[in-house]
Amino acid sequence: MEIKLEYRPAYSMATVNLNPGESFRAESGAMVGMSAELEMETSSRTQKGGVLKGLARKLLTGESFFLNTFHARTVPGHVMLAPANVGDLVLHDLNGELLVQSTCYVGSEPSIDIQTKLGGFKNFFGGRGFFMLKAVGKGPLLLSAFGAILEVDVTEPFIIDTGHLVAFEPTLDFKIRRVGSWFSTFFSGEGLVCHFTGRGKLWIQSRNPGEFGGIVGPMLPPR
Amino acid sequence: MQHELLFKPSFAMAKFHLEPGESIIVEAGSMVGMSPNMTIKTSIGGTRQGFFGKFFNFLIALVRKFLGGESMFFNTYVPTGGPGAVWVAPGMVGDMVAVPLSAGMCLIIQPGSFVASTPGIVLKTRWGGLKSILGREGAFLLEASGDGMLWVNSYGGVKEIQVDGAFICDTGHMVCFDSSLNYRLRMAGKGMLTAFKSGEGLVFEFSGRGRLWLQSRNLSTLVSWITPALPR
Repeated sequence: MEIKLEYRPAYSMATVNLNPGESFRAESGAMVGMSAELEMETSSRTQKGGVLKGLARKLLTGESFFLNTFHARTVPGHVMLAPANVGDLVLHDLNGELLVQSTCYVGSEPSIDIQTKLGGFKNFFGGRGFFMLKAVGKGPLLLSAFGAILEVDVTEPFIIDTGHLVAFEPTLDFKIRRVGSWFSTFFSGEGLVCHFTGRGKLWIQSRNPGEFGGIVGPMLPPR
Repeated sequence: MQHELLFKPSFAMAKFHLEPGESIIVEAGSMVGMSPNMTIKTSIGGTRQGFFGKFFNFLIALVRKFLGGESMFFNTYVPTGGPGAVWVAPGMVGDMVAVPLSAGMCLIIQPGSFVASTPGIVLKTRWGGLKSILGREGAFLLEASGDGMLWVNSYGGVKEIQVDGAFICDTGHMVCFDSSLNYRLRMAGKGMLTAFKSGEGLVFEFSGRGRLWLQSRNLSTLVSWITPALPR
């Protein structure tokens, strides 16, 4: 399997070249084009679990209920994938675990298990819903961002706005904290922030979907 | 203070590296990340003192928020016990530009384009007048004066133009300009019909000498492009 990223960072697109016997799983709706030799299989589930788990994924994380798996059976082929938002893609060579902001998942090697992880109140107060995805396994993992992606090697504590989080390694621990005084928490527009400690990699997106919606949304006509 | 602009031009983000004693004023809600030793002070802006002065500052902040399309609050970031960094990005997709100002100069900024400034810059909300309302830039514009540096954001790329004489720009593409320039609103061509047929409608005509910054995309065009695609 070979994955090529093009048109970065604004209109990034991934081309996944598959050899016979290989396959790649992607978020439904991400396919731009594919060779006719590939076979597309739509499943409602992650690797383990079933319909319920797929449903949980849809309802709780806002990710789609269906995942598509592209198989190269006897001849090689390629599939082109693009995220919904304008922004960059990151190709992560997973070996172990990674925590991913639920809307950032694009695709992965099918043996990688994508679990919905209960983030608990931590995520709720961070304003990102209750759930994050936990990718477990070995192989390529494709993530998208709204904007460019900044990779931060965290060695000393680092604070980020929750709307800019893409993914982080499980060696990092995070707490949701107030940004400053109570006054600042309510009026600074920053509210609660993620305070990361430990050592590991953290991926940040340079735009915040909520903030973008806050600009364009009020200009749209009422429904 | 050192600053760096990353990810230009589509998704520009600024990194400010502050030494002890330095500070930066940032539009509310624009912080992406920061060092843990950064302290944040939230204020409503304005320079008037005393009870009535502060009340006036508050009213201006309300105007800025509800009529000017900017935030009501500004945040000041100050590092404590050593240097620190803060990363800042605007809400809109597009570029950012650092605009140097010196004493006696004044920059007029479209609503929503202010990102950050050094402490020497004074920000005021200014009545833009009928030409600003009809030009769809909002009733109030932001006015920055003083000695220092200012960061503004654009929707799309940003282009600086040295106006000497006259220059015409589409109202939706104007980001900011030196107040040494005069501007007036007029129709794009001669007569109503041309203005309507050309799809350009109203334009700003600048005259004098000074700097003008334009953005390569227009927000109202984005809105009219998205609107038909919305679910009913």
